[in-house]
Amino acid sequence: MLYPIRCFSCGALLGDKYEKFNALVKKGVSPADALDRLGVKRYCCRRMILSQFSVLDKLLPYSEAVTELREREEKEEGIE
Amino acid sequence: MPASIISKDKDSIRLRIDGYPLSAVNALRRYAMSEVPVLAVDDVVIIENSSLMYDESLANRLGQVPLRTPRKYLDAGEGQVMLVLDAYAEGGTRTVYSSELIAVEDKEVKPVSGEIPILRLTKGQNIKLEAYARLGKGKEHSKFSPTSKSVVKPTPLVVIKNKNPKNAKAIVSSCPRNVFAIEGGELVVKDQYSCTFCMECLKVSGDIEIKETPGSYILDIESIGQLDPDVIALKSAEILLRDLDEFNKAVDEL
Repeated sequence: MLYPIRCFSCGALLGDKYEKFNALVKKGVSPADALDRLGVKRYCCRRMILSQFSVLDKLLPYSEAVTELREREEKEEGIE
Repeated sequence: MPASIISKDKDSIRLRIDGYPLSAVNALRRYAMSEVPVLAVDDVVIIENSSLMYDESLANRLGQVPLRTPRKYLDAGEGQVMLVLDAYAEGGTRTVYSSELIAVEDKEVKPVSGEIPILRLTKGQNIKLEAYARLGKGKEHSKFSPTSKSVVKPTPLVVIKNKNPKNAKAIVSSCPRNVFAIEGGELVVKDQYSCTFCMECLKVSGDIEIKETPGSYILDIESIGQLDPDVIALKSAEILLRDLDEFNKAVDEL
């Protein structure tokens, strides 16, 4: 759901690098350069970051909406 | 000296080992991967979890967070540490990072990096859990492995037969590992240990010879961060010797 913490093949720590990678790419650095700067050398680790897609980020807005709805309902019940 | 350090930095070490057979060096490599113990979260007691992530995947993620393992646990050969994670999203959506995973008693035990996202909470969601880390070995589960890379290769011997070949520049650019360089108009070997025996340079020029140094191997260890790379190398040798002693004793008793 969220970014994997380790590389599936070699086990290197990547969890702390996704956000830095995204920030660099947003700044206009090419993905290859960004990976080099973060010290991600092997191609098993590089594909982990390049092919990452976070489903949790897609689901969170729905969860937020449900929470708001519940809060509103609770408030209305309180008034009655 | 049979072993010498070629290069060493924060998370990797490269050793040249001379005078031992490949099987011995390979044993060292395998021991570094699967016999050197490190701490990792193994049991998780979830007290509250109203996040979108299932308890199981949360526990799986916690297990993968590498924990800095102090030397005393290695020497003792066993150990258990309790960590707690208590997070609540008051305002909007927020990410819970590994820096919030805190050891209760031993403050030396902490995640290798504090910036690992563990899960994401939206408004009103909270998470409360106890995680029990214990010492384990890589052969049991790869989360207990201290190395991400543990490789042995023969020591390359790059010989330049003619120092002024016609296509020196083509030779330099043919090598994907930048083994060659041109210094003062002459072709020189800059970093022969980086050679991977790909033989690309031989396709360009007949003036180069690549051989293996007999009885010499390079052991390359990269640490994930739980232990320093030199500690992993030393400890793997120590455990290998201990196991061989035990084996000897068992054979003597037969």
